[in-house]
Amino acid sequence: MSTLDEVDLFSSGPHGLQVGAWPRERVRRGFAGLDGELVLDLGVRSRLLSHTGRLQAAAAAELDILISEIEAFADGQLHTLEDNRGRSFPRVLIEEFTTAGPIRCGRGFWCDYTIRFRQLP
Amino acid sequence: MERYLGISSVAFGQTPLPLPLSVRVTRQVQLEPAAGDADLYATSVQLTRPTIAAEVRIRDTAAPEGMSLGQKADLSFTIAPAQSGAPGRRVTLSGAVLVAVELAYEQSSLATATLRFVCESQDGQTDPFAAEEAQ
Repeated sequence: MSTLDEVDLFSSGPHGLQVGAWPRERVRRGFAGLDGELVLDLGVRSRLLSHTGRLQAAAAAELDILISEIEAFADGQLHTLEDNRGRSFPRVLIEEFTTAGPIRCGRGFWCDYTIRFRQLP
Repeated sequence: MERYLGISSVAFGQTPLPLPLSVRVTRQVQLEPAAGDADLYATSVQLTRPTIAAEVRIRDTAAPEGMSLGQKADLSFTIAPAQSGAPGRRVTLSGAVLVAVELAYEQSSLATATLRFVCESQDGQTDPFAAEEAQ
């Protein structure tokens, strides 16, 4: 079960986390008539984590609460994300939280969602 | 438990569909299974909104020839009881939209028509399918 700052936001439905690589920023310089190039390493930059899942509730109002609880964490502050396998990702902030289309009704109410986290090194 | 044998009548709006062979009503949803990245099996099986469809097979081809796809009316049929004296059943599918007509002309056999319908709910809340005891 994933948590954000140890708050259970996602357990109403299945979810998973795709972890991006840590990018290194660099500047490349070449010189006319000279073979090779100069590469200046600027260090590690932030990486993206893509959290996808499904929110489910018995009533539409309950689903609205689940959504607003996640939205409350999109505050520009750094949080700690823990994934289904217990891996911890400190210093993450929510860049974007989107639901895939309108709330749907079948066995209860549900919607699929994606959260894009940015983790700072 | 009531048992039914035979179709007494079928009508699409004001148009009777004579010589019915069969009426098939299907209530169906699409599955939307999902699982988390640590799951071996689906842990959530959600459903789309159900659609109610009907397929009517009749031995008459004249009535279907005059119908156009997209036509919308109530589809109703009455089924006769298996035992004499028992009540029949009247089924109404409101807001049935005609989506397919298939005419089959066969050698040494009576021509048949198959009409397919999908129902629209009036307000999104009301079940288009209704069944009651036939009077």
